[in-house]
Amino acid sequence: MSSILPLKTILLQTLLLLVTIAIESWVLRNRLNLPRKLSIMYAAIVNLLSVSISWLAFFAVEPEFLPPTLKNQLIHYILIGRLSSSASQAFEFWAIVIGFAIFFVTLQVKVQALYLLQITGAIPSRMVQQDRVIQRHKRLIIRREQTLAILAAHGLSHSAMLVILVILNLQLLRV
Amino acid sequence: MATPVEWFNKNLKPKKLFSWQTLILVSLVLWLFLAIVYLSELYYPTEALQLENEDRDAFIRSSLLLLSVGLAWWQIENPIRIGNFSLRPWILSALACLLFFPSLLTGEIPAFAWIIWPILAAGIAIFPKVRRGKDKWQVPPLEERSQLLMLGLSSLILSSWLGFAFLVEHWTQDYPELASADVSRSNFVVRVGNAPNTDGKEILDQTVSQIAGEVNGQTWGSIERFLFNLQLGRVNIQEQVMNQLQGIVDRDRWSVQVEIVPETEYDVRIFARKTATSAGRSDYLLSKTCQIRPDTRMPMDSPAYPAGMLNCKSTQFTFE
Repeated sequence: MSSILPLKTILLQTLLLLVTIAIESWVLRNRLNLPRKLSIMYAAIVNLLSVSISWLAFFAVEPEFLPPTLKNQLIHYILIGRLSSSASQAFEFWAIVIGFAIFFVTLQVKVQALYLLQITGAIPSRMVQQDRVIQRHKRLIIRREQTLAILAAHGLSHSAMLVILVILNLQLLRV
Repeated sequence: MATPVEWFNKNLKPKKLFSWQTLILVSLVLWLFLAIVYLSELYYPTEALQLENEDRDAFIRSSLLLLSVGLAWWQIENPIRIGNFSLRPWILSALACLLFFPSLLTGEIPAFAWIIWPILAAGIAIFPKVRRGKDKWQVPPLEERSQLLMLGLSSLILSSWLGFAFLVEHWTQDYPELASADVSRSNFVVRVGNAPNTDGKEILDQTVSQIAGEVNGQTWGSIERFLFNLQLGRVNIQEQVMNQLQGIVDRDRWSVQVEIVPETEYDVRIFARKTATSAGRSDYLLSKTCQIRPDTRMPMDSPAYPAGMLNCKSTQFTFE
């Protein structure tokens, strides 16, 4: 192993996951009238899933599909903590676009994965009663409610994440 | 407190011949034998039993194999638990990774073995839940499904972290200068231990000391003359630096340059540029800004006043 280890990644991701699960389970519980345990389980599963899928996507894209300049900027940012000074303005623009894209893609992952896990019976839900999926129109009502709740939860948890990341990156704290 | 003999009788004495205790004891005896051979070779080199290297490797390998199988067996019979959490899958998976990626002798565990370890552990934990009897598969009960799902996803994330650690290592191998770069501002990585000495670092340090020799304690006039000659190219700093450093591997790929920052009196910027060693990698640049200022600690009535002093900031790494 090299002497440069991604320990901060592990700590930060664990912290952000815990905060996210706490916030999202609270939102889901209030909006959907779920039992406490079930709401925590929903929030935990969708977030663990979206983090896993993000990692897999990162490993799939990083070695082959990034143009060299972008890859260099990524390496520079991850290791040194800021963009290489050879970066152009356009790069920062694209970084923001990619940030938004990740927000909406992970939202979709959460919405679809939760629904699929529910109707396949992998996790308990109101949509499956006595091992049978309930009727389509009833299901649609629950699903719409649930999608809106996930959107609210996702937005709130990502705002919290943004606040945490900004606080951690304040120059004041960098002695 | 139990005496060692009592402890042995309770925990390690084989209850029957074919048991995990036997395997572990046999492997311990093998280790003991090896230790005796090693010590006798050390103290009585001429009379000792001479083991060929291959025989020794075979001994070590077989005793490790026995030890691993014994440990695995022990874990299957009575797993270690922390609270409600069984360590059995993790230990079994670690043993499997060690045995199936047999580089035990070199002491290097390949990245793949590390990465597969959490996933395999989750698989071992989940397997008994979906298997009933000899050849029947079952879907675990509803209460357990979500827990198993979370276990599987968490182990995937653990594997990703390990994979990311190896990716970072890969990057620092591609660009050795990154291994010695300042990572204190990173949100992702920390440095454990000291920064290694790299060619680029040595080149920059040598250039700085080369310039410091012309600046520190010299009169302002001679400093300006030196800078003037540098700017006109009368001083070949690259040649001077490279002559001092004979251990640099890719000498031809490095180029050293010193520039005076315009409208300062005087800031110099030192560049060490390296062209890529192979396709798919990029050129990069190490740079350092140094200030040449009058030495304020020097008494004003000294004949050499104002003498110069060189002060350097930290090194920057830039891709080109």
